[in-house]
Amino acid sequence: MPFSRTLLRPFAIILTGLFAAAALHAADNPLKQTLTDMNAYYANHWIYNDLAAARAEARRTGKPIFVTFRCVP
Amino acid sequence: MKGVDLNLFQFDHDLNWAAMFINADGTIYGRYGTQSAAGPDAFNSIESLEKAMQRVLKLHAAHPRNQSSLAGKRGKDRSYRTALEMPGMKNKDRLRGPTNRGNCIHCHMIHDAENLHAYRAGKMDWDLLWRYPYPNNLGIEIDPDDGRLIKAIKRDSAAEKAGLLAGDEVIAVKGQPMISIADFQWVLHNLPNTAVSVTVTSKRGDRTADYKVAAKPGWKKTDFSWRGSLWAMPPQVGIFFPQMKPEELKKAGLPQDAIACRVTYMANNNQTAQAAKRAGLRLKDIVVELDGLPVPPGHRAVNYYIKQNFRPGQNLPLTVLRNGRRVKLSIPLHE
Repeated sequence: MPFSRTLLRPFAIILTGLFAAAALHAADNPLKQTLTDMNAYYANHWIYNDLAAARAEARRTGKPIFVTFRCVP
Repeated sequence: MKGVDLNLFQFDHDLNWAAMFINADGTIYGRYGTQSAAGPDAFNSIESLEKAMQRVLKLHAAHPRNQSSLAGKRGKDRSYRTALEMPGMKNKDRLRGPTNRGNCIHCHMIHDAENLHAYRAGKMDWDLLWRYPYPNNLGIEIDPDDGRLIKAIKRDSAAEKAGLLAGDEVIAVKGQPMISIADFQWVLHNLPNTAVSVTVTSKRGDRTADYKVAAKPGWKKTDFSWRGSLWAMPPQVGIFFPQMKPEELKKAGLPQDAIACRVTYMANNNQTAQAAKRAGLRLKDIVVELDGLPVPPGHRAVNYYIKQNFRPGQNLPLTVLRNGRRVKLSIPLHE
């Protein structure tokens, strides 16, 4: 079953690569370029390595945060 | 894991994919992601992730009224907050620099550092290594496509004696609401490896009840041969012993159903591998016995056996075949 984008909508989501620095800003984050996961690459709802931004987004929207940790190729 | 708050994000760091669900205030709703010797996704599925997310949304809707039941989902604060502050983390100067391919801190390195610190402090204990035991250790097989539904109960197990049945849905363990198998593991991970009783709250039809599952001493023991942190655990071996395939066995004049491992690599930067060279081990040697027993099948199993039965400073007895002759060797093991 493909993972539904609709399913992610109720969450503020953060993706943390295992080898990326936590403080990098999403806009210039090489993690996004390194990922070969097309589902993540073409989605603009992921926040990369920035928990503070995810918390701010969660406070703003009232959503819980979905944090994932994954190996990066 | 560089910079990740290890007080907040405590999970099974040997996983190659893990998720945690939290509130903006840091309250933890749950964990998702379970791996085993059966494979990285033996316990994971899109279906159970979706169900876990739906359960999180219910917990979120009930927050903060449910705050007290969620408190146990956060681990105790550690003496360090980040990976670089861990006393057992090796090569900190290299890791401290700007992140690139060569200086990443992988998840499993958190457990590597915990193991090394425990070893150096003289506190290396097997109970430390039975991390995140499965509900199966209590006799509970959870449906991997659901994450809470009991698929089967093992006969004569602690769970059967407690009265749990296949078809029950595990709502909470030790009072903590469950969103997935990983949540169950979190509770088990924090229990001692002694005789324990754990309360499993389960739903059967319309009825919800508590079941006291009493585990015997040693209940946490789990096959951890799949864990990435196994490799860096003392003694580090640094020798690669893949199991020989039937055609290789045939070529070597061995029965095709024999179990043998060929030495294909000895690391130049590993003390045990270098000591093995000095003790007479050679590339292409065929290992047939280890510690006086038939060699375990393959590199992972060999490494697992060594980690379970040997400590740095001890010697590993090996019997190898070389040019048709049996050669007995004794390999000094190093940290």
